[in-house]
Amino acid sequence: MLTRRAVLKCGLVAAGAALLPSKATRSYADIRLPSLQLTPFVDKLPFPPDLTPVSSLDPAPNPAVHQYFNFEDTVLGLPPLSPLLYEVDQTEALHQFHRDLPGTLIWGYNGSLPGPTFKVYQVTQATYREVQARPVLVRFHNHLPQDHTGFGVPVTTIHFHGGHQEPYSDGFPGALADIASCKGQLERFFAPFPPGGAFEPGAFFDCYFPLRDPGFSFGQHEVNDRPATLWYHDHLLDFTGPNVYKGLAGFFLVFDELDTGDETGTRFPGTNMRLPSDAFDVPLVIQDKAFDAQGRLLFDTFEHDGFLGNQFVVNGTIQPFFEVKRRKYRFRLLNGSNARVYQLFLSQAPNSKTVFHFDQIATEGGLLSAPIRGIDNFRLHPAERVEIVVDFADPQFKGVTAVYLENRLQQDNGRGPDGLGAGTPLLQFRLLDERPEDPSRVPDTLRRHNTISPAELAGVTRRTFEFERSNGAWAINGQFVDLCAPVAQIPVNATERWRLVNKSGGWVHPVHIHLSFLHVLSRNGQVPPLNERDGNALKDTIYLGPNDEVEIAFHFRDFTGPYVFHCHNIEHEDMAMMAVFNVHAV
Amino acid sequence: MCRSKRARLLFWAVHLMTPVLLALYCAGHPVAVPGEPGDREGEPPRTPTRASALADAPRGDYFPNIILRTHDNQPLRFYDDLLRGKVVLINFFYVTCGDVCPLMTANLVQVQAALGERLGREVFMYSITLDPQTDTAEVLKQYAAGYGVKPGWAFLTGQDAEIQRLRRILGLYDRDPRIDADKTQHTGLLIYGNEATGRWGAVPALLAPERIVRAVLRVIGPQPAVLTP
Repeated sequence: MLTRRAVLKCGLVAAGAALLPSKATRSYADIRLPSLQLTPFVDKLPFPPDLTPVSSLDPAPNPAVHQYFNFEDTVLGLPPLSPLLYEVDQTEALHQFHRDLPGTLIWGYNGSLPGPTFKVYQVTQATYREVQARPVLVRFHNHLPQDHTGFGVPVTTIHFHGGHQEPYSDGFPGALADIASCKGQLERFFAPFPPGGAFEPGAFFDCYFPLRDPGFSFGQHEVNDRPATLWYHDHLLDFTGPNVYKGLAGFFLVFDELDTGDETGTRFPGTNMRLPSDAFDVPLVIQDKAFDAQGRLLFDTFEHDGFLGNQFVVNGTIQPFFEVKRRKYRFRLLNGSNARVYQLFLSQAPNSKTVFHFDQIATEGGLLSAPIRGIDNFRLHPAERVEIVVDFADPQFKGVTAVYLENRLQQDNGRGPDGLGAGTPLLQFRLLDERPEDPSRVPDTLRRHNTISPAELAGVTRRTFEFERSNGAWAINGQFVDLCAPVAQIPVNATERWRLVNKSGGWVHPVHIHLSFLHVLSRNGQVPPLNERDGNALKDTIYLGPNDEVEIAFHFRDFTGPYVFHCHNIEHEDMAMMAVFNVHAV
Repeated sequence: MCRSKRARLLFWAVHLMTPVLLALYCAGHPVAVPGEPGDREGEPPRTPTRASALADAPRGDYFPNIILRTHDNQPLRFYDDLLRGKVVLINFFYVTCGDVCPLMTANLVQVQAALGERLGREVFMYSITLDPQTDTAEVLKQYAAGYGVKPGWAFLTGQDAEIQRLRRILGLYDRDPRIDADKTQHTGLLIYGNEATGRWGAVPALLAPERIVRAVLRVIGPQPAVLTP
């Protein structure tokens, strides 16, 4: 007789309530999330640790599987550069989300939620000279529990979201076995480089990032096409949603001779923009999660619309507080949620009519051409990044001792958000009296982006991709993801112009395209707003609201092989709303 | 007559054997559960561990134990008989649904072929009608016969209200009542999962058959599925 205890001993029963979607988010009568009443603002805002390089890896990395591993840049006069080596271990760990919750089992890079932060420099003449900038190679170990039960699959592949890198290191979502099943197509489409893939517990995988300006391989370095805030996260086919939700996500910050990480101006004199740096440069990842009374993570695997939690977590802590001095801060906001959209305000009190103003300086594609000054709110869709500078020394904060980062967008299902309404404070800033000297600046010109020229767009290949709902499933141009069948074959270093169309009724889809930053040419036939407009911004995630139609153009530079694009409502992505394009040599 | 009796026997045999096999498997693989209360007397339970997070989850309280009837006219309980301890593929369809369902059933026939001997042993397939009044067991039997359905794949009918509830519990519904009333809207997804380990997913029912099989193998764990080409 198989008793429950025997099953427990056998390790076959899933993680209790974490397994059971029974109390989860669906909004019909008998399904409700437990509403834990947790006191907000009792925990300090935590910061994930910075990663430091290691001296060597055993076994040594295999250069043969990477593109441009020993690249000599004769145009810039840079010799082949051996990469900085990093080592990251994916493990299960206990994590404290709130003072009054017991420890929660999560999956984290180095057991940390969010994962440890990479801080690296783009490889340019200036950064090579001044800080010996080099490419980066990260060895990811998979020590997730092989006998894991409950939601999440302990097989992983890691995507560097927003990065310009080879497919092998881009987190191609399939397992090698899946790709092997492509049989003859593998050679036909993906040769000569291996496409990479997912790996099992006990194995490791090396990701290589040249950190070169796009166009480097043919001597046309696009010096203004540089990221600032990237993130890395799990990308396993069919199971990205639960794996990211369990904690597999972290920041990857890129600096250069303009955006230096040194507000004093000591480094890179002459080019240094002196944006707020170090303790005043604060990454904030926002996620919604759900917990039971024992602190266990809840996830509804039968919520096919997109999972929404009812607790709000910033850098891994539920509604934390952050003590700030009266000076400028740079906040790098990332929406790391599966399906929730935020509209964020800085308010004097939750739902207060008094909201504060700040400058937006960057989006996914790094710094804007010019800051967007004096805004008082912005939207943040899944996977998007928005960077702002808030000057707490500004007269608008005179006499103010607390400020709230507040989400006022209403959303009760994965279909998409409703309008503005009662706000939820995500983070409390406590304004200290201290008014230190502030050497940082927000220049009127940041990183200048030229609009894509009509000459460059003339005669390029145009494609249309329609994001649809089909009998309850999601599709792109009527197709479901097939890793073996690219929907577009693109010669390397080509430019293309794509129309992204949302035909799925009331559904919304944040569409993420790998490999290159995107120039947004039009939204619904109109000039796009400044925060995504070509010439002011570059993007990697394009939000498609109901019936939206967005035109983008972008380059497929340097690397060859298969890449994916997909909806970043991760539940939609996991249900095959994804497609492969293949960049081939010419 | 004789054939269908044999099929019925086979169907029951595979369903009843799974828990036995599981028990045998467990007996051969004792796994320590540190921190489980009662493991060592006098020791307080430790801080949460994997094992204590495994505690107290009566899994059956989520899935309804409604009675469904197979195309062989056997009444079976959804949770106890069809789901408990198994790896399953579940889709909804109905016989008269026009173009969409035949495509999906034809696709699942290829999944059946690709699963080979796993079907009925490691993996079970259930196609549940959304039109139970029309789709009686007899109608389903004919339908199944027309597609060459093998033991381990059951076409199921039951009470309309109960099936509607089951569909919603598996997440197949639309918030727009007009769309929700259109049965074809619930035919596009295939729910798959391992009830014993709580690993569930969903894919389009029209996804390439080999892709569906790979997705299902991914939940057969806890040990990673052996992916033989």
